[in-house]
Amino acid sequence: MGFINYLIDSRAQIFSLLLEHVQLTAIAVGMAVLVGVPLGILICYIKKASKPVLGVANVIQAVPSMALLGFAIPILGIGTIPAVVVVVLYSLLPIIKNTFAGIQGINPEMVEAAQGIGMSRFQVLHKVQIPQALPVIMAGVRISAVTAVGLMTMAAFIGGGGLGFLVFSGIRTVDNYQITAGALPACLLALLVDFLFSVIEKLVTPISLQDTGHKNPRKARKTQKAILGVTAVILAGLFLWNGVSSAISNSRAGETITVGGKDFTEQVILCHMVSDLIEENTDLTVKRSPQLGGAQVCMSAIEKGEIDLFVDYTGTCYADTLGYTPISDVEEVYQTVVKDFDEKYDLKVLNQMAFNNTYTLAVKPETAEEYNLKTLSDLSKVSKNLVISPTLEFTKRIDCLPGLKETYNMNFKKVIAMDSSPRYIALMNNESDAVDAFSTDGLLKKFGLVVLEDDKNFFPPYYAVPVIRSDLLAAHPELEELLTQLGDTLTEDVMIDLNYQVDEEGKDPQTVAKDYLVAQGLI
Amino acid sequence: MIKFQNINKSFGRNDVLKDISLTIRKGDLVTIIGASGCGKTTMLKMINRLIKPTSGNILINGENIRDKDVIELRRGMGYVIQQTGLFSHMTVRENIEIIPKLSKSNPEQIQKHTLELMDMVGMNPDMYLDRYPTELSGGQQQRIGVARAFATDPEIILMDEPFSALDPITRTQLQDELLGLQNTLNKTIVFVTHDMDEAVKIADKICIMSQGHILQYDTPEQILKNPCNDFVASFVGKNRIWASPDLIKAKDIMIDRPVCCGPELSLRKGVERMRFANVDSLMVTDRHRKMLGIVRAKDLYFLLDHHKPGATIAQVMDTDFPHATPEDSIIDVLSIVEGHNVSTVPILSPEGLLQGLITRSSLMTTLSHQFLDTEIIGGSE
Repeated sequence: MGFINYLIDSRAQIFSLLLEHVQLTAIAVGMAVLVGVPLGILICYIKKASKPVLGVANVIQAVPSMALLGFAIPILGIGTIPAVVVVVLYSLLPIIKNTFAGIQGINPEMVEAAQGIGMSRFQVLHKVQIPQALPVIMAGVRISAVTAVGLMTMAAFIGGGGLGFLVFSGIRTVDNYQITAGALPACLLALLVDFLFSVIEKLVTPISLQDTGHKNPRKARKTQKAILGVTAVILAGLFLWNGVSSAISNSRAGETITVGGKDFTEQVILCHMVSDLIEENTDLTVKRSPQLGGAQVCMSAIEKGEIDLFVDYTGTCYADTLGYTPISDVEEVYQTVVKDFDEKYDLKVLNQMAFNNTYTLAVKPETAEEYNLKTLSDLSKVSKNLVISPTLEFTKRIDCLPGLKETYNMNFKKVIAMDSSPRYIALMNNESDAVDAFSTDGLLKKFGLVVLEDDKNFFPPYYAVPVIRSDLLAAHPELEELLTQLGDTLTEDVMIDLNYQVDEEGKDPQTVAKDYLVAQGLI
Repeated sequence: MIKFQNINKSFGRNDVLKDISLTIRKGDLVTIIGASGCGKTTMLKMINRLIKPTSGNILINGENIRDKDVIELRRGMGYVIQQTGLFSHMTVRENIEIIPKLSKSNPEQIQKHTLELMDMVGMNPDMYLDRYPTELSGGQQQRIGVARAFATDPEIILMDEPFSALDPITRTQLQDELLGLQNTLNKTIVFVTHDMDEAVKIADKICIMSQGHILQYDTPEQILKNPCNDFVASFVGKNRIWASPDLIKAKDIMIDRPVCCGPELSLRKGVERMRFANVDSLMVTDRHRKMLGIVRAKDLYFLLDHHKPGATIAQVMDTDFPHATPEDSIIDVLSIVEGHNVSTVPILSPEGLLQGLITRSSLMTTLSHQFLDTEIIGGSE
């Protein structure tokens, strides 16, 4: 019942994401057809090109989609464009391959007959070769389209929107309803797309070439046309409605800025909080781009101007982005970051917020009891018997696992790196004994974990700081004051509570953010 | 009409056609025949420039086809191949109308012409125009192929083994219909086949090819009777001519010098001449070899007893006798022999001059050669 209620409560969001998903997929498949079919035809004429073209398409297909997205970000930034481009690249192979195979498979005598009775090259192509190959080409497009529906969920990883948004944010917050609410429509959509394309495939197959289970293929054809017609009308209607409504909202908007955020609960709340704050107190219209992967994705996005503002953490900026060796001095870290960000990236770093979301390690109460663990020093003594399942980021950063090894002489039996939220699941399932955690993480409270004290002050400070593009700040200096006001209220306790509301109580991050602002009288 | 001038063609090192020269007259149905790989299809496809000659020229009505627009050239020729030549994704109507439509002819005329074409190839338009080729039998498909070739009303029609995939009965039917069409429309048709029966049946002229050479280019009759070499003879096949008895003419099997006499000869002398030549009848001619009548031995013996010894042949000869011309076939002669119950049939030119003689026994000799492996026909020429 909980799931049904969730669906009813978020139906507007699910529907608009679904629509966005359909739109993105349609654009991607459309473009893949526009590129793939001509390429397939081309390599029929230029035989020498067929191997390299198919080879490249094959290689693209073989690259993991996440990696392809990663490559796309520095070149194309974040948002819908790189997502669509990646899906287009992925969709190319079946289309090119089938176009090539379809045209090659035509009886050469038929083609010669077409030439012999006096058709020009182009006429032979579009009157004979393409119609003859169309069933095979459509089969390729069908494969591409179905794959594209699934693949398009990746778009949310770089802020491209679509149903993947629900899946990703559901994974972050360990919210199965949300995951299902994203995955189920995506799955149904894929099935629907498969069905529609199977109808098209039949429709473009010449009646004479169909193996007719149908007694009357001409009658079946009418039904097929009707199905497609209705679908086309519905789609056109939806897009039109969507276009009109977005046009209306755009016309309302003044200057628009984009606020980004990383892909965990606290960042999602902060992204909405900052957005609401600015929207309510200035003339600016704010576009929200939460769930943007890790720190690197946000940095490259703000450098490219894809986003104008996001909240980072001093320690991340200092060690990770700037590459300094982590230190514990709060003030020195902050000052260095302010100075270097201005010089290196032309970005302004505003005042530190009140909370320090540093790294910590956490274990289950049973584990803490068994080994009598209170501090990281305690943990290091028994670490060779334990398995840790940290985030990918944690294993690589010098102020994380590598630094811990040095300072505390910590050497775990096994390190299983995984995505952020599933690591708690691994812990609860006894597949690992310890996890890294953010000190403000609501999930700590949700799963009742024991946080170990950093008795050697190893972890550097991770105070939250708004990072903003210089040109935006220059045009709107009032933003600094506004964000400082907000930052001063956000203590660690407040932040844990807000995270807890989302992670444990399952509230919508946007609502939590807004309620807090209202309660504080900030909007 | 179509003239091949010193055509050579090689694919890589492989010489497919070697110095081919050939003239096809307007209104002729010419079959090109040979074993597979002899270059016959290559020759055909050169006419509509699907294949380019390595050297040499092809002229149509004196114009080099190389100087013509290739699309226009092809639209001016019908092209029929095996069933695969029809477009399976188009209906019969679309197949027939494709080129007229691409040439932007008047739509009403196209429609009218399509109905005429369907009628011409003996297909019911209402029943078949909206069907797809695979819904038709092989023979029907080929009729549509022929109809499409005639759609632009071309002067020239190229046919590449159009009937070879059909069953023998359908094939014969279509051959007959093609001949009928050809008799009324008089197109210039180039027809590639590997079937000698088909070639002999439909062709005005046959071009026999082997390994890129033309071995013989002549009428079916000449090729059957006078194969230019052993290869052609073996290709044509021994006794092939018996499959086409129409081609065996009276002049081929007649006795060239029948025993003759003048009308003034006395009966007694006539009897002596018969005995001497060991024949049972005499052809009576004047001095210009104009045929006057026949005297038969049994009549002479009878008359000798009742007439005066001084009587002449002219008084007793039979002037109302059945005869044939040199161009009549063996079948015509046989039917005369049977119909009139005669044993001798004189062969006369249209002017009535005696050319030769066919007797029951000479017919017997000729026919026996079909079964007894000996050479006779045309051997005297």
